[in-house]
Amino acid sequence: MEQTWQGAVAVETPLSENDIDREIVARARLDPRAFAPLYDRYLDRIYRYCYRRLSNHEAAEDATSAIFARALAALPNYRDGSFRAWLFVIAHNIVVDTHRRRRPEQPLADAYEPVDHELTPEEAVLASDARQSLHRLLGDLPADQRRVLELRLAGLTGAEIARVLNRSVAAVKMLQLRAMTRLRSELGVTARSREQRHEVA
Amino acid sequence: MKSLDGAAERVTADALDRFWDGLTAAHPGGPSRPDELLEPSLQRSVRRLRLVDQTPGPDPVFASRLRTELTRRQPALLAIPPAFGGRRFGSLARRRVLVELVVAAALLLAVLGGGPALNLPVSLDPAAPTVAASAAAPGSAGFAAVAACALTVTPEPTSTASGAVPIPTRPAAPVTPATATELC
Repeated sequence: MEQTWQGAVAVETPLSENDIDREIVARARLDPRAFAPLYDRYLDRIYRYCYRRLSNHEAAEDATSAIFARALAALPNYRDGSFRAWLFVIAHNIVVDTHRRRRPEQPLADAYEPVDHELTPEEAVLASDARQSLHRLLGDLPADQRRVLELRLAGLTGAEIARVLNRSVAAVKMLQLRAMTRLRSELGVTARSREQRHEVA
Repeated sequence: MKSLDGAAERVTADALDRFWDGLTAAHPGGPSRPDELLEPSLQRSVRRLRLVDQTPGPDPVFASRLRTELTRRQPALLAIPPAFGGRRFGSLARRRVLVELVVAAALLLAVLGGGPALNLPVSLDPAAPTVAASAAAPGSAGFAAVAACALTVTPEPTSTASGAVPIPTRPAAPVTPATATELC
């Protein structure tokens, strides 16, 4: 909670996620053990992002390790702005490098491994089907639209995605809209025409 | 017409971005207020896409191992993980630390001439390791021999420039086992 004053009244406003991140970063610069909370906050998102991009459990683990190691080493270089975006810039670059190092004949989704730690067999099958569906859905998109959705699914805002991809915010918004318009029918959602919407209203 | 479509598309794009930012801020499954400028079908599409996303999380063993590796990258004294604060650490590593401390203390005393204070057995044969020295730690026998030899060495008095003869004292500089053998 952050306390501010409105006249004579103290008002407590909750800290934003980025405020919390910045506090942890400041501590981690003095004591690397303090990096652990940042790791805990972002491991799941980073790993899933890598898995979505690389479609391989082992490659996702390697990339995740490399991302956090680089982030820890580069903490002194983090200045201001969204830490989440800064971290995902590192993630994006490492995933791109991983893709470049892959042998050309090795397909992107060569092993869509169901890594299900606590699911029943039935749940595992359903989850695997869902993953394959998502993979197919995203795979049908142009690369730039797919990148935006992958970062959206990682929990980044539009502005943060713009920073990661080094695009303007307006460009990211358009890519996002076109991607979702394209996926709408594949997701089984029917778009009503403007006339139909007016009729309902 | 084209500019109107473009404008309408920009309005929709802004609304979609706002809506999705709202979902992100509300965190997993948290509802966001419907945006009046955004078609309901697009809102439903976003929600459905998030539901379809069943990407697995990291393996807990991998997660734990990576956490330990990352937080271990620091000075050794700070890197002792809590898991090693118990018997496993005390029984082996603590014994090594104690042995090293004893050796260091013995060396320090030998250098400062503390042999008599400890009643170390003095041998006329400087090459023979003493019992105390050999029990302290391997490799320290030579230093005990140096301490013992120093008791028997009487350096020849030399005169200073003023002609006064200095009172013979034990050699101040540390003497190595090799030079001790020469002196004795």
